[in-house]
Amino acid sequence: MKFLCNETRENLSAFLDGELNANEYEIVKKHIGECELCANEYKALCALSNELHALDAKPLPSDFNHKLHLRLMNEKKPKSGLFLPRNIRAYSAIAAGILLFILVRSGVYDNLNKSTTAYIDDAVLQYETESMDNSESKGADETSEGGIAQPQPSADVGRIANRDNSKNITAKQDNNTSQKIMAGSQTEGFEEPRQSLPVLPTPAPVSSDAQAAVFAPSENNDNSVTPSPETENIGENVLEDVSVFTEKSADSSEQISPPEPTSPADTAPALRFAPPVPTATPAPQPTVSGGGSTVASPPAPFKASSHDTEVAGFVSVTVRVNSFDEVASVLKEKYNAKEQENGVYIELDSEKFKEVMDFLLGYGAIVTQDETEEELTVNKCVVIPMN
Amino acid sequence: MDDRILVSEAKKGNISSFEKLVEQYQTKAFNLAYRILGNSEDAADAVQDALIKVYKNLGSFRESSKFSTWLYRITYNTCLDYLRKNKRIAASALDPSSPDNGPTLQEAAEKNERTEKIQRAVASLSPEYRVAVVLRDINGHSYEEAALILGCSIGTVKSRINRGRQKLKELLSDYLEQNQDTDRQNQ
Repeated sequence: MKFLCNETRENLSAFLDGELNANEYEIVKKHIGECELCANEYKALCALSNELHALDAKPLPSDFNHKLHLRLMNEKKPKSGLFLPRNIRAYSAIAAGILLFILVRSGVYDNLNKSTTAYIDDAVLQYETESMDNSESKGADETSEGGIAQPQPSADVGRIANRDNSKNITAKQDNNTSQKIMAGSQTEGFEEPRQSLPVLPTPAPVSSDAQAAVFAPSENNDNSVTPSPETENIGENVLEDVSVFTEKSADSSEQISPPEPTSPADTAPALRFAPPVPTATPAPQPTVSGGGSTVASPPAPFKASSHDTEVAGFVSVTVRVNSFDEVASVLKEKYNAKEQENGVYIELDSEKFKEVMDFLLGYGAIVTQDETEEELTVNKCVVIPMN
Repeated sequence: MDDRILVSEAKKGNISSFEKLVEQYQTKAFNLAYRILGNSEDAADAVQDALIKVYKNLGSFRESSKFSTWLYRITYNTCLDYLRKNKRIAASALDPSSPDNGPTLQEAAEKNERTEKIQRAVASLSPEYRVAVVLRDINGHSYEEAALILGCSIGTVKSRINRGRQKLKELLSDYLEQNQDTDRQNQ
């Protein structure tokens, strides 16, 4: 009986409000017919509810409508654009889901499973795709061409090119960029920017078709990379960006035309991630190579090739995200992230790392790899606010 | 006039349609804000801000949901922003003895003792219970609407309303019993 009383008390308010399902309703109704204590409880609740209903609503201040009218007169017409509600997390998750779906469809995901670093590489690529399309800077051209002109570019050139790219990631926030892409004015598809990535120190002629495919088409990158002004409302473009990816990647799946495809099944993934060829590689490490670069502070965007993955295993990255507070609280709650001076810090195994990157992508994550001398035994990830 | 027509007119920038549209809901929005923030002045400001947000973002209002629920939700969130940003408001909202939290002395003198006691009791609830009870018992929302406005589950709303009422019942027990006795005598 005690149990029934407790259960009834829990449901009594909802019973009074007619908010129980038929089954629950019958149980409560039967019980208060039998139990005097609960019946009294119910009566008291009814009395209280009546009192509350009888409370007068507080009237609006007399000048309310006038003030509102004045403010409305100063407002522009309602925006017809995209409005991101507060629970952007849900939307971001959906966006990330769509992105993942596209990746799976286009065959990238198999490669993702092989290499976590390659996965991040792809994330960075998303941003670069757009920044590249929108760029016209000559200085950057030179860097890029430098990379192209030499089939085996030096490590330094690789670093500089990387850093240029890291700046340009922000170009994704430029609405014009997105619109251009949407309008399909560019013929380069999803794949294109990747071809400019591997100005990383390349191992001596690994003569696989796959690698040729990675390097060769970079001639198309003549008009690449202009640092574009940073905008503040990055978060508001998230959905738009995702839709851009959707369209672009859908298109690009047909535009991939590697120079000498051996077979369609082989080439697509090879284009994205040149398979590691450890034997032919004297294992050049971009992360520790010469520091003669004149390009300042922002760390190189993380685009470790799959070589790095094989060699290093774990990475240390810095991720800049929108809605930092929201992201941080989730990371603290779910992944035991620790507070740091400027952000939060997490250590993650490969599986969790992928999961976290997935999550962060929804927040416009910009991932950069940290240069570290120490031998990592786990993936280290520092998450900081975008600005 | 149908909300949908007013919404579509307001989307085109027709201010008088917008005013007509929100007029039906602004008193409830104000009462909600008043119970959260604890004083009329801040409540009025918060509702004004909320209505401007509503106007600006009308273009993105998906008409599959109810306009009023959307409006109350924005009001609720705006009030929470007020509490976060302004410690003075937060302090007064949490303090049941602050002068404007219930009716003013003058108001109380004008009203009967009955109303005043209930107002005080409601004001003394913790904010989450108070808002849930206000949405249900004063503004008359269903649990589902309350859940949409508060951005939580129906189960949470149910439990908050139940706990809030239990607490009120304790606070007002003497008074409620006395009333029940009077009612019985009258019968």
